This record gives sequence, C-alpha cells and structure tokens, in this order.
Amino acid sequence: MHPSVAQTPGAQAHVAEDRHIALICAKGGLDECYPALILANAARASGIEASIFFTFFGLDVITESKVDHLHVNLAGNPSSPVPTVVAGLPGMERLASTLMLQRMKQLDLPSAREMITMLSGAGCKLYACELAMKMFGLTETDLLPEVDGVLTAEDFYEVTVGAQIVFT
Amino acid sequence: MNAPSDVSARLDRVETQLGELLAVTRGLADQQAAARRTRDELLADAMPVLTGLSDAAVQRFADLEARGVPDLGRAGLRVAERVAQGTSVEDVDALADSVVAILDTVRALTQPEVLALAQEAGHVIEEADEAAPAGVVGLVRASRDVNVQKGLGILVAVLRHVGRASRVLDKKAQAVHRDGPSAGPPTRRTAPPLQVGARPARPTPPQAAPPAAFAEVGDPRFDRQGFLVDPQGWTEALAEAIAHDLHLNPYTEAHRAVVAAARADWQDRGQSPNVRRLSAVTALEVQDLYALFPKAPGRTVARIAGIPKPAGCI
Repeated sequence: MHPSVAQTPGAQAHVAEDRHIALICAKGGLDECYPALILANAARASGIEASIFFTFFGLDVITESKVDHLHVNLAGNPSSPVPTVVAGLPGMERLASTLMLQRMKQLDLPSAREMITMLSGAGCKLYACELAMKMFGLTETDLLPEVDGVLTAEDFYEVTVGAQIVFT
Repeated sequence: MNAPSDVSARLDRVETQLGELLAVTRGLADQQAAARRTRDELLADAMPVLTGLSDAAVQRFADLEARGVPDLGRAGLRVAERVAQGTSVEDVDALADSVVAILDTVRALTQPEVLALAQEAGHVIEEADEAAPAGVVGLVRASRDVNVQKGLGILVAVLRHVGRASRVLDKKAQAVHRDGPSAGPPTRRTAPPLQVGARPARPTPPQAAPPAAFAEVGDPRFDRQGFLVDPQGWTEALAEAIAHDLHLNPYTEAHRAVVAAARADWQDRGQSPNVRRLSAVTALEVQDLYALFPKAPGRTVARIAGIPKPAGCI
C-alpha cells in the first residue's frame, strides 16, 4: 500500500482500483472448498473484485442438493489427526464431518450455503464449469440461484482478463 | 349617308360571320353527339361486366350467410363489446407491458411437440372412464413401464421448475415487502457473461462536488490506514466529515443508522463488526450494505464510526 495513500484520511486506503482475484474451486470437501470462499469474501470486503469458478467436485458447493451435505474425509491426508487405516472405516467420514461442523458453529463460521449467499450479495461472480456439469449430468436448474453463469475454460479466461487466478 | 355598297359589304360580312357561327355551332353539336355516342357505347359494353360483378357479390354473400359467417361476425362484435366493458385502459397498458412475455409463452405452448403432447393428454382425459383405477400395487407395477417412467421424469422436471420459480418469487416478494420495490435477491442470469475485460457496474454515489479535505496527510488523529486512533474522540460531525471525504454523497439516514449500529456493536462486544455481523445487527442484506458503502463496507463503516478496523477472515 502506498504510504501517501494510507496516510491521507480521505483516501480509499485499500487497494488499486482495478485489482481482480479469480479463484478456482475444484474440490468439494467441507475443508477443501472453504479457502476459495473465504478468500473471495475477504477480497470483496477489501474492495477487490472477485470471481469463483467451480469445477469438478467444487460443483457440489453450488449444487442445490449437495451444498448442505458437504463432507470431510481425513483418509489419505498426511495432516490428518487420524491415521488413514482408521479414517477409512465406515462412519468415520460422517463423524469427522459432524465434528468439523460443530467446531464451525462454535466459531460462528457461516455454512457453505450462507457463504455463497454472502458472496453473491457482495458482488462476487460465481461460475460453474460447463464440462464438469456435463460429466455429472447437471443442468442449470440443479444449481443455486446465486450462480451467475455456466462457462467453459475459455470463457473463464475471457471474463478474468487482468485478474490474478488462484487455484484452490 | 351610307352608300349601298357599304351596306352590302356589311351585310356580306354579317353573312360570313353567321356562316362561321353556324359552322361552329354545328361542330359543337357534332361533338356533343359524338360524346353521347361514346358514353352510350361505354355503358353498353360495361353493363354486362357490372351485372356479372354484382351477381357474383350477391352470390358470395349468400354463401357466407348460409355458412354462418355474418352471424359469427355479429357474435364477434358482441364479444368485443363485452371485452371493452370489462377492461380498462390500465389493463390494456399492463397487457402492453407484458405482451412480449405473453407472445413468448404462446410461442412456447404452440410448438408442435407441446401441442402433440397436449393432444395426447387430452385424448386420455376424454377416455378417462376407460382407465382402470390403480392402487399402490398398481402404481409400482405401472412404474416398471418405460413410458410411465418417462412421464414421471417429465412431471418431476415440471415440478422442479415450478418450485424453483416459486421460491425465487417468494424471495423477491419478501425483499420488496421489507425494503421497497428497488431491492431484491440476486436472480440467475441465463446467458454466459462473455464481455472481454468488462467489469461489473458498481453503484456509484452521485458526483457532488467533494468538500475540501478536512485533515492533512499525517493528521495524528488517524493511523496509516485512515482509522481513528482514539475511538473516544469520535463525534457525529467527524463521522459526517469522514464520510464526505470518502466520497459518500449523500450521507443519508440509512448510512447514519448503519454507522450507529456498528459503533453500538463495538461498544457491546469490544470488537468491530465485519460485514456479516453488520448484516445481522442492522437486518440489512449483504448486497444492501455493499450498495450503501461500495467497496469494502466493513472497513468503510469502521472508519466513519471511528472504531478499529474489523479483524477476521469472514
């Protein structure tokens, strides 16, 4: 941040006018989708333009029937507090998801659905990947109403000219 | 005294003139006769044609009368009269506003496939008394038929679309009820946004002439990011000055209410509210906050309210 801009009380002491962050959300785990959502929200709260491109399992976050049922699976995750052989047992995925949701509630973190609503209200653009929709047999009516459009990868590049693209 | 030769010369002249007059008169009479002859001939030629035409017209009308078309015309006039009595100018205006949507709907409904399906459905309902009643077992048996499965799929798709449209309308109605006609939840845009390099329009405040800056660079009241160092030194006037300096014109009651709520929440909880918390304490939607305070509402409100910058990621 330029010091003269920051010190002037009347300045919009945030960021350059034309900064744009484009995030790609490719994973649908409860723990895996939040980075994109939180980064986009923080960008908007800082006055930076933001868009999110949901692809492959990231589509779960914007699918009406799946957004309230995101799971976390700790199997195969080297950072997991639980060894893989235990994390893979039946019921462990549901247990881990329940615990994570409880923790999120204690911290008053918004649910994925609420994040999508907030992001849309904040002016973040939300796009679905056309190829992934075909792979999963989804149509626009299966998506949340906040989604702004279905794009191919080329379309995504067109709408994010000049943006910093972040893959999560 | 006139000589006889003068008189005879004059008489000769008169005679000549009379002769010319006679010739002219004769010529006129001939012309009249010729014109009358032409008219008569024309009439004589045209008469059969005119007779034929009028016969054909009478015949045609008699046919139509036999087929009931004039009766239909009269009935149509009566319907038009009743419609005119029952509708007002406002109704017609409203119709004009929606005429494109109506035409689209009519076009969609009169597609050949849709009409064929509707006809099939109509036939079945006509022959409804031939259909056997089906209980639960009958339903299960019927669902094994591929045609029934396809029909069920169509019904589910219709239900999904109608339910979804209804939920969107409910949300809009709630927003209108709470906030007035201009607010509303985000609606889906159906076309992909392929504007290269375009940026979405942001709500910009009206461009009133900004007042002169009320503080210099390096003013000790503010930190490097423009937040008030000592929140206790805040006043309403200072808030308004900061708002004007941030180009928030006009600074309305709505802005003041949000700033007051933010300051009150900071005093209660000891931490500045972020956008989500502001939305909760002011009962405004996130998009309304972004409309009031474009570009980083959480930070902007904190600066105006003289409270610290909100912390946290959400």
